[in-house]
Amino acid sequence: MNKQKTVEKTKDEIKTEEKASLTKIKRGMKAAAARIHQKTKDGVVRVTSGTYHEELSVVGATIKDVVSTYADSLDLHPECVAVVNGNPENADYVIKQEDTLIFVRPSGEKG
Amino acid sequence: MSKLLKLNNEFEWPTKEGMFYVLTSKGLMICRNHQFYESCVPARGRGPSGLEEVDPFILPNFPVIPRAVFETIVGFFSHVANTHGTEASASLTYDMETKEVGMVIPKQKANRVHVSYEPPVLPEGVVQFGDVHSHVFGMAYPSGTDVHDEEHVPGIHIIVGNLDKDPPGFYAAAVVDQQRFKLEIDELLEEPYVCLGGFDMGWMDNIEITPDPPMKWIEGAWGW
Repeated sequence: MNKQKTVEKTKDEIKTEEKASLTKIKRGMKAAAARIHQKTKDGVVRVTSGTYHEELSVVGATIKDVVSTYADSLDLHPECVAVVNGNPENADYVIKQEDTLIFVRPSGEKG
Repeated sequence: MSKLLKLNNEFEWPTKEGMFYVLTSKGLMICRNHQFYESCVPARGRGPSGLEEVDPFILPNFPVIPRAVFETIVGFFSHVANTHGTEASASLTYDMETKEVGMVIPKQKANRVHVSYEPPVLPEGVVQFGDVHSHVFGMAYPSGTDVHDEEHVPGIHIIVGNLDKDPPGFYAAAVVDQQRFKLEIDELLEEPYVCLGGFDMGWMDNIEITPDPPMKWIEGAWGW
């Protein structure tokens, strides 16, 4: 008897969790959409990764934002380093209008 | 076909669609508004079932490598193999303005089974469109290390092996967006390989020889 109650309670819990999860997904989608919108408001800078060159509307965005949004189109290496105007910069660097951004691999290994 | 939506700044959860797809940064999702639930789950490797299939393909249009450039690289690799018994690496470059194909020997650390290299810093307007490395006297085929290294390096990747034979062995592949395509070496060369080329002995300064890793017992024999 007690066992049955426990099972029923668990099902209720699962339903509640699923509902909360769905709400979270919907909120996550809205938040992601809002982040994308913020990144495309301002000016354009030239961004290079290997043989790929693009002019992107990323002024005001951080390097972390650029990596998350353009990882595919620039085929960014997971360990790539961002070089702004010739100087390595960290993920929180905010891109300015006159910047030139290049992503480079720190090293490679063959075997 | 069911509606296909993109998760972007205009996205609104459609309340009137029974079933629809949403394209997100994590892939294609199958979403539903059902009497008993609303759901959004990964399409798990499937595309919308109403569309045609397509196999991955590449139509190569890489800069053609002059025979002299390729033979210079192979000549250098042969000298390194015979002097130190180690691998070596070279970068293939393309000048966007002059349309010339060239090569650079990057700074590298090499032993008999590995070579690690610093991607070269190139002048503006010059890009690296491929690389070549040696497997010394072993076969020319891509190791797991090679495949991993080349995943995010679009372009052509050539391996030179059997440097104790004439001609040596060659393997060529192109990689784009982490997809690997096998190519024939002659597709990439201006003219077929003939013989080892001369090279700048100063390039030997770019190679630091490192100790070999410990050998392991693999399939009944010691090896790497």
